Amino acid sequence: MLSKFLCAAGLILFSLGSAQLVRFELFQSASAAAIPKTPVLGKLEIPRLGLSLPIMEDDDPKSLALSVGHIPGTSAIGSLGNAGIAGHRDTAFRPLRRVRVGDRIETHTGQNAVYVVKRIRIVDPADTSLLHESTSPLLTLVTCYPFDYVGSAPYRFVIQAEMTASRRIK
Amino acid sequence: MPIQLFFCLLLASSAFAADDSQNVSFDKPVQIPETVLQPGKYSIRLEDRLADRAIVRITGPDHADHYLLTVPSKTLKAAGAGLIFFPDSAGTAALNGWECNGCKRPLEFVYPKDEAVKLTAEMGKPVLAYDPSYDKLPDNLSPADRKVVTLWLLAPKTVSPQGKGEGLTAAKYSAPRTVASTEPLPKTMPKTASLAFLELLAGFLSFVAGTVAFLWRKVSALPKVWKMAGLTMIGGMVAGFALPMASSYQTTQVYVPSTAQIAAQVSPAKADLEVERLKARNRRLEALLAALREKNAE
Repeated sequence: MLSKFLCAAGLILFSLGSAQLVRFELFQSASAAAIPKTPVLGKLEIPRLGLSLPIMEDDDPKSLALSVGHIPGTSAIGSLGNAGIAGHRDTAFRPLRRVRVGDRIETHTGQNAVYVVKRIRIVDPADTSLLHESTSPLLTLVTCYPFDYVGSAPYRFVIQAEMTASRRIK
Repeated sequence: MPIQLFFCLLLASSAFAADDSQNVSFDKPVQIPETVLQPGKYSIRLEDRLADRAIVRITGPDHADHYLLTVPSKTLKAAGAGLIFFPDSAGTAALNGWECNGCKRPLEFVYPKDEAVKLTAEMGKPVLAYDPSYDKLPDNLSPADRKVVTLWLLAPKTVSPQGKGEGLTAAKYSAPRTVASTEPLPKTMPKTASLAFLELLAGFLSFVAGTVAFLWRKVSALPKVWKMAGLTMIGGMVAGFALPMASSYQTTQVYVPSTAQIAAQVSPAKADLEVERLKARNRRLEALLAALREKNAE
């Protein structure tokens, strides 16, 4: 009885985990036309890491299961303030462990903006100072740390980039 | 979020009007930031805007576009919709601002610092200026990129007649606060750990545990001889796998530093000391050997 229960529970959990990963991959490979009702703000790209992700409107679990999300309460992406984007460390933002100071980040929303990574910090989840409003245009990427931790990680990996150019999409 | 976006758009649109283009005609040269327009017919339109600044495009008869940085001004006054020139400008007229139809505030043009210094000397009036060196722009920007950065990022500041030329004192322009969101900042960083891999691991372990429990029950029901045979087989398999692994593990534990590693760790001074130490040891051994030979000879 116990063995059957463990096997069934294992299969269910394994399916749930696999389903999440499959859903993430399907969403990443889907074209914009295939996801017309999904609230996507634009696209985030880090050319050196080969990272290209749709930016969701929110950072709720539903949005982060599909891609990265704009952190509510922070400035609009590509604006003059500090815009925050959060993503899962084990799916969307996994390549961020290879990020370096000086890497170029591009956001394509209503405003095409180019940022350059200036700071990489590991902070306590309660420390939100890096999300505070700034006097210069910033982009702050947040994910969990350590990257290989299984479960709810104890720290946050924060990358802060400064805007170097911006151009409105015609 | 749609409410925030609506709020942002509402804020941005409140300073500017929908009717944002105008045709004008100049009968004498007119100075604008970075260039002088020759007499002719021009089209002026509001090209782009943020809460604290606007980009104005002036298109000439030759279809050449001039993109100019402007900021909404509280001090500029216009008789009506149209262009605002600097007062008492002798010779070339210099454009100070533009009030588009329905604009709540006129837009003041921002001049490069050197032109602003000349203008403020001539007009006796503060002029808004931008200064790439003040804002520490990187040198490797192309002229096109520099223009984009100027329009979107440089902070306009006021150049006043009292502080023109050498030792210029320019007050940093303080932009109105951009309200990007009606929501407060989160109190903690977002939760960015997905459960996918935890579920995969827990699922895999549960499945393995269930399978082991199932097999154990089956094995328990077998006669003792079969159990012993099974255990012997498993033991043999484990030993077969574990022993070669253990031996390879042992060999990999022997640390043999490469020449490069040694070279990286040993400085020339340290190496000389080591050579001296070995030579001294050699001399001691040779002396000992000689003493032993002498003793043997006796």
